[in-house]
Parts: sequence; C-alpha cells; structure tokens
Amino acid sequence: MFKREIYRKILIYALTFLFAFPLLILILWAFSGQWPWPNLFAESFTLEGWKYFIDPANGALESLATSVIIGAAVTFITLVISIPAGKAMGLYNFPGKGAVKILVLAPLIVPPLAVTMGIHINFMLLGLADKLIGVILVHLIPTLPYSIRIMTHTFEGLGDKFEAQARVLGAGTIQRFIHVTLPLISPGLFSAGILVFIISFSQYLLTFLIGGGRIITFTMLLFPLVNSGDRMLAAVYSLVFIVSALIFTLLMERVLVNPKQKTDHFYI
Amino acid sequence: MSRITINNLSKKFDEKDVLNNLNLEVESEEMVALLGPSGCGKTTTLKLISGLLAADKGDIKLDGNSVIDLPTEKRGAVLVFQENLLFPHLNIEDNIAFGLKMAGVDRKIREKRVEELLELVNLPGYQKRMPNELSGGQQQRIALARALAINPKVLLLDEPISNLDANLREEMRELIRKIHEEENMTTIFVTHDREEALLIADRIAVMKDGNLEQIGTPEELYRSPVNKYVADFFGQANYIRGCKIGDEFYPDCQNNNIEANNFEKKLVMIRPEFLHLSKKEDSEADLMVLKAKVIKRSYAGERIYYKVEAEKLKKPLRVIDYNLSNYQAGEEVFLHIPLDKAAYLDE
Repeated sequence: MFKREIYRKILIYALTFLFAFPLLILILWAFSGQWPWPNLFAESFTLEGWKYFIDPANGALESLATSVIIGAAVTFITLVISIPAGKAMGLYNFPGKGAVKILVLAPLIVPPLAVTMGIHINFMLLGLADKLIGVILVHLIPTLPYSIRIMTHTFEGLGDKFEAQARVLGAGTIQRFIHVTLPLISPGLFSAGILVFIISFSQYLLTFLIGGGRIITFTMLLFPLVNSGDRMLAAVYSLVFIVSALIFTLLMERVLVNPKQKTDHFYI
Repeated sequence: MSRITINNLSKKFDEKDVLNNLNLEVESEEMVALLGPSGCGKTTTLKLISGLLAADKGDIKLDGNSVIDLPTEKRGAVLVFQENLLFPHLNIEDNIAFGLKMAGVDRKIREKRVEELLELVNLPGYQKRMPNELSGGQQQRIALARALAINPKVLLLDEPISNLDANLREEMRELIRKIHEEENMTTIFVTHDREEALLIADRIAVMKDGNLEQIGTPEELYRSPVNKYVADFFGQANYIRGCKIGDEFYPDCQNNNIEANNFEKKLVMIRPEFLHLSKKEDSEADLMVLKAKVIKRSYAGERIYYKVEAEKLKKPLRVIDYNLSNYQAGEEVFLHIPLDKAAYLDE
C-alpha cells in the first residue's frame, strides 16, 4: 500500500511538471530581454513586451476583445443549437438517426478548408464575408460536432425520467426546461462550453478566410509573432491567450455549476 | 379523491399488445393494487393513466370526465416512480414544493404544506437537506410527500416498496396506508409481490400478458379465483376434475346420474388448509368425503403437510393441518372436502 502511494505521488508530480514546465519557460521569456545562447538565465529582465502589448497602437487589446466577443457568441449559439439536437439524438428514436449522427461529425472529417472555400463564395453573395457575424457563423462548423456530441451523451446519461416526473407534478414545457432539464444538464453545458470557446478562440484559418483580414482576432496577431522568432512578444501574447481561456473557464463554472452538486456526478 | 373509470384501454408497442381492452373501475378513496409479473402491462397502465403514454384505444375518466386528451401536466394524476427520482439539484423543501411552485402557489403556503407533509412522512426538519444525504427509504418517503403536495386527484405508485430493504418494507407499507387514509386519496399501486398487495390493497387487480384476469378483495381472490392462473398466484391449490350436476359434484364424472348433457365439466379448486383428515367419516352438508391414503407426512412446527391419495382421484392432494394430527404414511383415512370453500373453475 505504502509503495503504491509513493509511485502515485511520483507520477502526479512528474505529470504536473511536464505540463507546467513549458508554462514556466513562457513566463521567463515574457520578462526577459537579452538571453544569448549558452547562458542559463537571461541577462536582463524587462517589461518591454508588456508595454508593447498594452500600447493601443498595436491593437492587441482590441483584437483580444474581438476574440472574446466572437468566442462568447459562438459558445452561446452552439449551446443553444446543441441542447435540442443533443436531446433529440440522446433520447428519441427517429428514422435515419444513425445517418444524422455521422453527418453531425462530418465537419471533423472533411477538411475545413475545402468547405470554407464554398462557404466563402456564398457568404460574399449574402454580404456576410469580412464581417463579424460571418466569422461567428463559420466558427460554428468546427465547434458544433463536439458540442452536440457532448450534449447527446449528457442526455443519454440523464434519460427523460426527471422530465416525466416534473410533468406529472404539473410542470409545463418551459417550466420543465428551466427548473429541471437546464440544471441537470449544466455539467454537460459546462464541458461543451469550455471546449467550444477554446476552439473558437484558437481559430486562425477560418477567421482569416471569412474575415478577409478585416476581422482581426487575437490569434491573427499571435501567429505572425510566433513565426517571426520574437520570443519575448510571442511569450507575452501566448500567456495572455492562456489566461484569457482560463478566466472564461472560471466564469463558466461560476454561471453553470451549482456549488451544491459540485462533488456529485449524479447525471452519469 | 376521484373515481377512476377505465374503458377498453389498449396499448401496443411495436405491434405487440402490452395492454388489451382493460376495463377497471376504482372508487373514490379506494386503494387498488395492480398485481402481476413483469411485462404484464401494469406499469404501462399507470403511465397511460398519468398521460405519459398515449393510449391506442379506449378512455380514461376521472369523476366521469374523460381525461384522455388532457396533457399529463393538467391531469392531476401523480405518478411516483420506482426509482423515486428526487431532483438532485434541489433540497428537500424545494423538491416537495416543486409542484406547488409550478402552479404558482404563494411561498408562505408552500412552506406550510411542506412542513405538514414532512410531519406526515415522519421526517420533520429535513427541509434543507439534499436528496443524496438521505437513505433510500427516506428518499422514497420524500417522493411520496412531493406527490401529495399538489393534492392530486389520483396517486399512482410504481413498485413503491420493492426497492427497499426487507426491514423497511413493513414501515413503508403502513405509511402508504396511513397517507392513503389521512389524505383521502384514490390510490393505484403496482406490484409483483403478492403479499404486499394482499396486505395493503382494498382490492387487487390481477394482470397477465396485458389482460385483466380478475379484480376483487384479497379474500375473494384467495377463496374464489376465476381461473387457475389467479388461484396459483395466491398460494397452493388442489385441483379436482369432475362434473357438476346442480349442487352435486362428482370427481372424474364417475356417477350413474350422469347423462348426455345434464352436467357441466368443472375444475374444483380448494386450498390445502381447508381439507381435513380424520379416522371417522363425518357427514355434513357441503362436505364431500373420500376414502384416502396418506402418502407423505412432513412436520413443519405449527402445522403438518400431508400428501394424500384419494381413491377416486387421479392426482394426490395436499393437506395442511394445524391440529397436529398424527397420521403416518400408508395410513387409511377419510378426506373431507368442504365444497362451500371451494371454487368452481371453467376448464
């Protein structure tokens, strides 16, 4: 028993280190000035990178705001679509259910570039190209499959018995959804929401194609920096990127997870 | 509270009849048990009454008004599921008050009703607990309280006791009976447990393969079942084939009075404890006396089981004797069969 405990601890610390070490490097880079090759530590520390980031002329904060707006909107729309879709696929039987299940996953299999070319032409015709709303819509393509999948499993695990119980107690359709279904699927919404936000937040190619260079998201600034080899700036932007996603996760948890049921995975 | 009338109710799943022309009348404030093995259509019946399933055919009336087209939430027939289904995200108070809140009842009245119901189910002061902090039996009681909160017209219970430990069953049985009486409920409950049904129901409806076999008081079903299925369901039974002419019964139709068509072929069912063995022949009215031979004697404390072979009968009969008589295997005795305690079944 004692030995197993030790192995377990070693494993946990090793994994934590593996995940945390790259982050530590990022933090070091973000504050380092000159750091020539054989030195173990940087020669000087500086806040230059952060000054550059905050400077409105560089548009970093503006693009971050754009990314968050797009991410939040995509998350909201995706979840709104995924709840009924997940319920239908998780609880009901209908002809062609198997085919629909595979079609929902299709965007993950078909290369997005191939699809987006066609979509781009249509968006231009509809006046959606180069606009925020167009980018939000195109982000639904890579996010919906995951979120519908998660919600399908959530509903499969939950079943329809709680809703039936609420019905016999006199709850109407909307009351059932607000007071019973929504709180019970909130853990699923939480997982799907975080995943969707991060997919949208990290999107480069689709935003680039549909946004046409007019919609500048955070990743569109981050990518060139990483390519250019400016380690300090790339580290600063990457850190902001990670922290933003983390803050969104915490906010979602606040909104969706009931503190009373945190430890109780009743819906599985 | 309400009288339930069910007419010709039928339901199919995938072309298979689950319920076949069910006719059932439950009086106001009566408790009826639907009894039968799993898959006999009893839970389907509850779901049809509550409206969770749509009937293929037939009608359901509460106090004479058809409710078949009303949606579940407007029927006022509350179903308590076997797995109690307390809402895990709500505390006990909010669980019990759920139906009242949905109906827009004032908070003060809700709180008062919750207190009253917790008192009724013997869990006072449990308002702020969460469902997962309660034991299975306690959860079941809260589920009952929640169903009662909205003063339903009809209370439907799906196997309310079967999930509980043996030592909790009696307590729960008594509680269900108490609630039924104190709240003047009309209750239908489903069970596969014969004893459970006998102990608490006013009347029992025995079901098999989607058909109602017989409905009656526990005593009627035990003493005068209409067929072999019901007879066997309620305990050990002896069957004697024979012919009935007027009030006379002739085992194996061995009698000179029997002519071409003055008799009915019947199967007599009699419970083992009504049979009586003795050394001398009694001759009372309604008593059929046959010469018999004991083939087996088994001592079981307060009673003795005999297997006897009567002269005129093909099959041996079982006798349960509580007088602790002492007839040994092979002994010749007289077997007394009180025909007034027998049931005549059609073959």
